[in-house]
Amino acid sequence: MSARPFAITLLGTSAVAAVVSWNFLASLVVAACGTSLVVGFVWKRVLPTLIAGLLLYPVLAVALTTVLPATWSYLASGLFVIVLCERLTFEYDASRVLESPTGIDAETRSLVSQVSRAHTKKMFTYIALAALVVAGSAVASTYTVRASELIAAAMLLFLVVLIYAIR
Amino acid sequence: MSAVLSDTSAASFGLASILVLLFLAFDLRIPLPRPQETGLVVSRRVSETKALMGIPVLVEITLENHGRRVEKVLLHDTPPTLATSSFFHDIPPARAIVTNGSTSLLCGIDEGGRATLRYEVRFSEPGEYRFVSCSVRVQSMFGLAERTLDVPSPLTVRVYPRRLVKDVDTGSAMAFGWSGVTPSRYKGGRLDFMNIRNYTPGDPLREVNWKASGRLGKMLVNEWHVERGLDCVIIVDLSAGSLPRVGEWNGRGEVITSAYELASSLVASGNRVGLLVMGHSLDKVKPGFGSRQLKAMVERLVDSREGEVWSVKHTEQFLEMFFRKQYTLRRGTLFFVFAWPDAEILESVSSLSRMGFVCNSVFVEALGGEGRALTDLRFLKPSEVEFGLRFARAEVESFKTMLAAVSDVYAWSAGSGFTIEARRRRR
Repeated sequence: MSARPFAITLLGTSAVAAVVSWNFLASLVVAACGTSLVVGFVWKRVLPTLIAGLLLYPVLAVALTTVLPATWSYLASGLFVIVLCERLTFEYDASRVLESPTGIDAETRSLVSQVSRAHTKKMFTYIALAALVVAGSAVASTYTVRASELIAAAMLLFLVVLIYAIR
Repeated sequence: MSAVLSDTSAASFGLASILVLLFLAFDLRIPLPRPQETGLVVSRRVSETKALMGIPVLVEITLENHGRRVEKVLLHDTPPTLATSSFFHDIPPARAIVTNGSTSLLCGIDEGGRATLRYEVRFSEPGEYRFVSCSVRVQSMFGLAERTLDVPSPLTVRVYPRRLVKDVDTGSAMAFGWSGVTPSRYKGGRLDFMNIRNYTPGDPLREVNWKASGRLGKMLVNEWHVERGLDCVIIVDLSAGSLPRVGEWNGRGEVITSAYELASSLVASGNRVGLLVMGHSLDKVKPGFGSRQLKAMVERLVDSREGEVWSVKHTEQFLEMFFRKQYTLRRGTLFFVFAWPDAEILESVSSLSRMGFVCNSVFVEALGGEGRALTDLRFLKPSEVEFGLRFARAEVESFKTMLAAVSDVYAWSAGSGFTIEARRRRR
């Protein structure tokens, strides 16, 4: 797989988000996002790509509020940006090996594709977990208005416990 | 930004951070091992530790994991650089060229697992090339945690000039058509029939003249003129001023290959050959015969470095210093091998020729390589390069004419070997 389809998707989404938001500031942010994305794509740099994702996130969330409730739109746009930017940066690493001007041998290609498959699998697991969080937040919000704070605090605790347990 | 967020609550924005926290937790659940705990071992092998210029050498790096599973490893190797050379006027030393494969490998390694990276390199210059270390970047699957390790895996490859032309056209115990004064070891030292004499115990049976012995009724043996070879010294000019250089390319490879071909041909013809290399250091091999001598000369050529310290203008002093007066009195034969003729070479050849040495100038054709390097680097347009080369060739021709007054002039080019350009008129 190449990084190009992911970059085009991200760029297209940002353009659509800018049009839907119909706001001067949103257009400005999307322009910066596009520039950063192109810089990251051309020079295969992680940081500009992540900055592009960060810039797209609020604009996309605002654009999604036209069709979804605010909470859901933020969750959806966050998930979209994380998944796409992460996959894009992974493709940069893979392309460094695969796009060698003098070619690569079959074993190297096979090892790269194994890592790529493992990465895709992990990504799907992450999306499934994120979907669970979204579902949890939807359920919690029916009982309390403080659902977001509660879930954020629970996740933070979960993270601390997990890292502490392993180390 | 407040305008953008006007229709959303801060709480929903905060809710989205849950996804980031989840992402962090999911990726960092297995912490990266510390550098001392990684258990990653790199071993390197090459198909040949003694390689020839221009011939591909396979490099194989095996990464073994003795620690716990690593999700994502990016192994990157750097092609070897010429260890016998150093930075010259900010120009880095020559590096091996990757001809096949990639120098990077992306993989995941299980506990006890291994992955192999293979690529082929080609060396454009003789010398000792050294691999240093591999860079190993260990990452979590989503790349949120990463650690870069430099794993040492030293290895040295010695690159020798490749003999492109099998033989220079030489007669036995002769080089370029004339014999010298030193008794040759070549083919038993027989050249011209001289006389018949009585057999004495110890004479080889193959020398017995059976016809004459039968006629006269006593054992007679043939006597021959001992074959004589050249007593010669090859002087290789690697001084920075006479060695063309464009970017990372320089004419050292061509000069060394030509000196090697010349030495090989002279030694194979039974001549006594010595070597002087003028460059960063003065490398010398005293005159001698045989394949061991040739090997010593090749090793010295491989280790030679270009530089500004030694120059051909002091050749006579060096000849006297290293080969003693014995050599000077013999009035031997000198071969000057250089890539760019200049006033110093002309002066040195004239002076030694006047002193009675038989001088030969071997001009190494490196202008083609220089032109290609200029075109590759896009410093100049191809038409401008061609224009410059025409001037350079004219200058070379003018020097050749001047050198022809005091020495025989030969040209050497990779692939076609030696050709005679001008022969000095002998008295």
